[in-house]
This record gives sequence, structure tokens and C-alpha cells, in this order.
Amino acid sequence: MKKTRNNLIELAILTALIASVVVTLTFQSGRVQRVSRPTQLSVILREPDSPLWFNTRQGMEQAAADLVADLRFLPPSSYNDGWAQADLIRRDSDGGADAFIITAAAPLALGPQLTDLTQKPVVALESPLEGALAQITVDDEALGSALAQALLEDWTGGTVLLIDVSQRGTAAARRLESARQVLETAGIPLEYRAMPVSQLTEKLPRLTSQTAAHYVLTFDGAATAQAAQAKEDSALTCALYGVGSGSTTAALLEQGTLSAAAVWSDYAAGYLAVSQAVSIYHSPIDVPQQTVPFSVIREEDIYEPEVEALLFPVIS
Amino acid sequence: MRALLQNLAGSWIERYRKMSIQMVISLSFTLVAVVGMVFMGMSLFWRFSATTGELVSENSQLVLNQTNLNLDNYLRRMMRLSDTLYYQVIKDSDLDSDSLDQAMGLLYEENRDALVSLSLFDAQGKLVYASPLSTLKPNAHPEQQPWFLDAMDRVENFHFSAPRVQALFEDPTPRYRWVISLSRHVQLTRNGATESGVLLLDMNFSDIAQVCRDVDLSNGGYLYLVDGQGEIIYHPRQQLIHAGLFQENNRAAAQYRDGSHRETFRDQDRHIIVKTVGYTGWKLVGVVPAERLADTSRQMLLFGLSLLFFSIFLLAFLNFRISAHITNPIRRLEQSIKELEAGAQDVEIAEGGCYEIRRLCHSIRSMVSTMRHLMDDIIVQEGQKRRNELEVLQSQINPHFLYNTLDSVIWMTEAGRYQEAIQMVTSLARLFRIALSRGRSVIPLTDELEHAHHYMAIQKVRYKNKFDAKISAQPGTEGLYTLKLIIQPILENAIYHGMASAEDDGLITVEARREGDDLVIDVTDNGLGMRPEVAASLLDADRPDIRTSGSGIGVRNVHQRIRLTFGPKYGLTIDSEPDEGTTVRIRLPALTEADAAAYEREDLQP
Repeated sequence: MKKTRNNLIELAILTALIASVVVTLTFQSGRVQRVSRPTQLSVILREPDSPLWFNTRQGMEQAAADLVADLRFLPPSSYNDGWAQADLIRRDSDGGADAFIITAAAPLALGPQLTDLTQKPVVALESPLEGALAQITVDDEALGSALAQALLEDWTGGTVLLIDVSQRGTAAARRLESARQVLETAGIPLEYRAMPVSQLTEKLPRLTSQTAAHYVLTFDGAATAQAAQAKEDSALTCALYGVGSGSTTAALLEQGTLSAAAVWSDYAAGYLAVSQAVSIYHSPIDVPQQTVPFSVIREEDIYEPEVEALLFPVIS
Repeated sequence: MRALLQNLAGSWIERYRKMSIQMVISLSFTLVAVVGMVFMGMSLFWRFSATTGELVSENSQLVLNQTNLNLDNYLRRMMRLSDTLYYQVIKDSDLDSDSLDQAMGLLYEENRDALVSLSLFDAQGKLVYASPLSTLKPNAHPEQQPWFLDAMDRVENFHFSAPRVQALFEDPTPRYRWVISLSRHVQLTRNGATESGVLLLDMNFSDIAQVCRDVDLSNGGYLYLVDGQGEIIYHPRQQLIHAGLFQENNRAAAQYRDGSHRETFRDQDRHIIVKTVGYTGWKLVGVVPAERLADTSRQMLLFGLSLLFFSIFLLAFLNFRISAHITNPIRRLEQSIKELEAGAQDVEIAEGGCYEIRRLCHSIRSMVSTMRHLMDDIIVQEGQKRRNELEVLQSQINPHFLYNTLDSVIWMTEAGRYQEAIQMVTSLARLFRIALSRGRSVIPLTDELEHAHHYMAIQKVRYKNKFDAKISAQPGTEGLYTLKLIIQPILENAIYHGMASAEDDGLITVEARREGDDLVIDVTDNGLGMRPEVAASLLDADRPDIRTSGSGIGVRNVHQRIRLTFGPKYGLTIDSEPDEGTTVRIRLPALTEADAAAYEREDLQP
């Protein structure tokens, strides 16, 4: 009896020891495994890839390197095509994506159907999106207001033409609405035109002539670039105000093509979007909307140290 | 508390006493091994952690030193280029008559991988020469720029600026490049007159960033570069810092002296290494998060724990096997002894295990064998004793002696010798009464001598006084006890063998005396005697019994009884010479009444 009991005690001790070995080894390899698997993120833009998204991509890639994530960029073939974006989301949701980062072309249409398209966590970049667990945006109302204020500082009379190239609910639409309110409150004569961005270069000279606009406001980076191109090509005399970032915007300001521009750190926005996506994937909770600060700058501000960092990212 | 400790100690001691030897050996060895290994493991872990920390620090220091060397070399290369431009080209040229284009253009081309631009200004900030671009922007005012002002202010030094976007020249591209400006005061010669100027080398920031970027400090650490005031020149998270998404303790780091430091920044412990870059006053700052070190330590700890557990497992297994090997033979021995205790006869005591255990098993086996032999001997002796006592019992009422004696009484009565008949019957009665002695086997010496006296009285009458008998006891024999019926068989032997042919002059004496602790009774006759070998054979145990018509107990019976009762030291010795006579000496221990009582109790024990 005693021998049997002793044998059982010995067996229990040996079993406990070997179990401890297995547990410590498993725990050690588990930590290694958890760290080594990258998070798969799909980035769905609202327009074909262009230099305008360069800084954003750099920020995203830096975040992916820091946080062990793999990025897959899925630009649509045309500008602001909401249907194409929905299709991309649906297809890639089954393709192994752990989370999505979306710059919605039509947020009001996409938001209600988001949960049907994918069950994966979504981070909205640029424009708020219903159903997204995190939003990385600029304060669009404040931006529109500030841009309108910059125009008001220069206004000496004449019509202001507001160019709308986006769908309802987008960041550009919100900025336009905010600027409109400021200008209407100030009693400025306004003209409003909506058109696809691809037609802006061609139509702007005629529009300024038709509306006798002395000032043109655009609220989208692509629209600003197209309008600047049209101004240079057609030697328009109207003052142009818009949004943008990078050396392109700096060159336009320096050349005088742009009178003022609202700029923000695309790099930071891209970095934040990826970091939020990785964080939400590992622990899916709602994250408060994160606002990226912006500045409205003129030519004389370009080489201020704070503005330099915004316009010309130091890519490490 | 003390009582509790005492209770605890008591319970542990009790538990220990109940523990088997195998458990004691295996647990104690395992415990010692565990304690030793844990102590060693902890010591190694602490030492390794400390060494790892030192190694990380040393490694980081080495990396920093190398980076510093690389950066220093790069900057010195630029300074040498600036010196070459100034001393080899500018200083000996007259701006009015000489052209700097070719020489400076050549130098620029040779170093275009590192330079964004190379330019020369006069004291008013007017451009004298520039390469590759040569047209200033309308809104560029070099004379207002910090690099210009520093160079004009401290004429003997090189001046390195913080990183900035170069905004001096018209660029059709356009390109906005980050540069670090190296400016210095120069002496320009114009039409023989010297005037001040500034030589500006705009170095490609990405080259400097490259020197620092490709550096990996251990455990996820990183490197950044600050100027003397703590302004970041390079940081791997520079853009995030500009965007407000990352904070660095650069201002504090700029105050640190060269060497290792520990700091806590935003609740994170960090190991900081600082190295000043030669001429510039910049500081290279290496940051190694302590959390990464701790993470590595945790990994190490887990690995160490797994090794420790495995080693303990092996030791425990080994200890258990060894203790089993040692204790199993002891357990088998214990089992065998239990069986022996229970009375099992055919118990095999196996010899196995270590040397000491085998010796113990061997000794126990020998002891058991000896015990069995002794028990067998005792059984045999007891059997012999019982047979002898049976014979004694039988002799007490020997019918032949009684028949002959009564027959003598009859013819004496018929012959009218009444007095002799009465004496004979009296002697007979007394003889039998002493022979019985209420069943006792040890009786007073006086009774034994009286028994012999009555026996001789009867025999004298039967043998018509052919012999005489003298029975005496020497002083010192008073109160002594003896086995009963030991003298009478010898007298009987003396009568039958010694007095058979006597001519009325036979004499048989019985003398009892004390010799030290022994009682000696000599029975001597002056009869025919016998040859010594015959005398010796009388006591031979293998000689068959010779039954006589006497009392029936032989001399040998007496001898055996004495030896069985008192040991081999005692018994009979026969000394005889033919025609001389025979002396039979009886040697017994001198028993007192208490000794006799003790022997009586032993006899009564089953």
C-alpha cells in the first residue's frame, strides 16, 4: 500500500515537472508566434494611385513596418466610384484581409451596406463612414471655414466660384458646405458648380468666364491640382484656393498659382490609419474619431519650420 | 506563533517518521538538487541579465562609436571639400579677373552624390557663384538666413545648420530637398581688394540620414541626432514627431554628457547612450527601451525555467530510480522478516542491492539459519530431557526393584526377622517418598543422601551385607540442592559391577563436598574396577542402554540429565583401575534453595 502510494507520489511529481517544461516552452513559442504573424490590411482608395497619395502611403508603410502589418493597396480604376469600392471590399473580404482602410467615395451610400459587404473591422480615412470602427479625418467644417476666411482676407469684390467634384457626405462636400456658410454669412456672391474632377481642367476657364468669378475655391486635392493646371494652361487671373500637401502644393503656392491652401500631414493620417486598423484587429472596440490638425498657408509661410515639416515630409 | 511553529514542526517530524526510506532518500536528494539548481539558475540568470545589460550597453556604445566615426568622417569630408574650395580655388582668385566656374563646377561634380548645391556669396548676400543652379529665387534673401549670419558672425568656424528645405534657387523641376548647410566665412578678392563672403555647401540630408538610419541597436533600440540645443537633426520617427504623433526626449538628451544614462520618459524606462560628434557639437543619442530588455529577459527566464524544470525532472527521475534500487532490497528484506515473524518456515532471504544491504541480508540469513539450528538443538535437547525425565519417572516405581525388595521382606517376615523387615519396609517407603519428592526434580542434598542411604540399606540386606556403605557430607554443603536420583544409579552400578564378587569387605562410600561454586559427590567403591576405556564408554551417548534389574536408570542417564540441566561443564567423570576400584565423581553447581526454585520454575515452563 505504502509502496503504491509512494509510486503515485513520484509519478505525480514527475508529471508536474514535465508539464511545467511543456507549458514554459509552449508559452515561449506562443509569444514568438503571436509576434511574428503580420496583420493583413487592405487599403481601398477612392481614386487611382497618384503622387497626391505619396505621403499618405509613406505614412502607412512606416506604420506597417513598425506594427508588423502587410498592406495591400486597391485603387479603383476611376475617380470616386462608389460601386467599384463596394465591389473591392466584398471581394477582398473573402481574400484574407484582416481589416480595411477606406477613403470612401460615397460614404452615405457605402455606410449602410458596409456590414453586408464585410464583417472585418474598417477604418475610415478622410471621410467619416457609418459602420467604421475608427475615423481618421481632418476637421472638415473648420477647414472649410478657415479656407473661406483666407479668401475673405483677400477679397476685394467679385464672385466666388465653389467647385464640387465629390459626392454627398464626403470630406470635400462637408468643407464646401462650411465654406459656403461662411461666405454667405459674409454676403459674398457665390456660384456653385459640380462636375467630375476629370473635366475640371477643361471646363474651368469657361466657368470662370461664365460666372465672372474672381475667386475659385476647391476642396479636394485632385480638384485643386486640376484647377491649378487649368489656371496655368489658360493663364487665368482668378485667385485659386484649395487643399493639398507635398511639394506640388508648395510649388503652386510659390509660383502664385495658389493664393492659399489648407494643408495637413498626410503622412500622419496614413500612419494613424494603419495603427488604428492593427489595434482594432487585435481588440475590436470603437475608437473615438481622431482629427488630424491642418493649417491654411500662403506662399510666405512655406519655409516656416512647422510648415516645411507638413509640406515636405522627411521620410526616414 | 511559537506554538504554531512548534505544532508545525511536530507534524512534520511525525510525517517524517512515517515516511518510507525510499521517499526520504528520493525527496531529500531531489530537494537538495532543486535548491542547488534553483540557486545556480537564479545566479546564472541574474549574472546573465546583468551581463546582457552590460553587453547591450557595450554593443550600443560600439555601434554609436562607429556611427559617430562614420558621421564624423562624412562631415570632415565636407569640411575638407570646403577647405579645398576656399584655399585652392577662392582664396587665390580675383573675382574680377578669374572665373571660378570651372574649378568649382568640377568640385561640385566630383561630390554631387553628397551635395545638393555649392554657392558663394559676398558680404551683402549677393550670389557670386552657384552650382548646379545659379538663379536665386526672387524672395530668397541669403543675407537674412541663419547660416549666413552665423558665418559672418564667427568667421573662424565652420557652421552646420539644422535640416531645412533648400529654398534659394529657382528650380524648373521644382524640387524641394532637405539639406544641411555647411557655411563658413571666406575672404574674397575683388580687383585686389579683399572683402568678406560666405561659402555655402548644402549637403544632402538623406546621406546623413542614411548613416544613422542603417544602424540597429539591440533589443529594438534606435539612434537619433540632435544639435547642441536639442533640435532634432535626424530621428527615425522624425515625421511622426513633426505630426505630433510621437514624442522624444531630445532636449534633455542634449544636456547629457557622453556615456550611458538611464531615463524615464512617458512612463518608459530607457537606456540612453550619448556621443558627441566631433566638430559640430551634435549629439548622437542611442535609445534602448528597458522593456525590450525586460522582454528579452522574460524570454530568457522562460527558457531558463524550462531548462530548470527539465533538469529537475531528470534529477528527480534519477533520484527516484536510485532510491528504489537502494530501498527495494531493504523492503524485500523487511517482508521476509515479517514472514519469519509470522512463523513462515520456508522464507527465502534474497541477497541483493548495495554492498551494505547484501552484507545485512547475508548476516540476517546466517542469523536465521543459526536460529533454526539452535531451535532444532533445543527441540532435540528438550526431547532428550523429556525422555530422561520419563525414565526417571518410570524408575520411581520400578517393579523389579519393588518386587525383589518385597520378596526380601516376605522371607524376612517368614523367618521371623521382623525388625529387619520393618527396617526394610521403612527404608523402601522412605526411598519411594524421596524418589517422588512431590514431583520436584531438584531436591535438598540431604534428601538425596538419605535416599542413597535407604537404597544402600535395602541392598545390604539383599546382598547379605557383602558390602558396607558410608555416606557423608562435608561442611559447606549445608542447604545445597541437587538433581534427585543421581547418586542411587551410581550406587546401583557400583553394587552390580563392583561388589558382585566381593568377599564381605566391599566398601562403597559417598562423600559430598563443596569445591568453590560446585558441589562434588564422589561415589567410590573398592570393587573390581574396569578398564579406562570401559569406564569412558559408560558415559558414551551412542552406547545402547543396558537395562538392569536395579532401579533401571543408568549412569549415562544421570550424566545426561546433569549436562542437560546445568550444561556440559558438569556431569560425571569415572576414574577406575582394574582390581582397584572405581570412583564416580558427580559435579554439579552448588545450588541454593533459591537456585533450586528457579530451576524448578524453568522445568515447569512449557
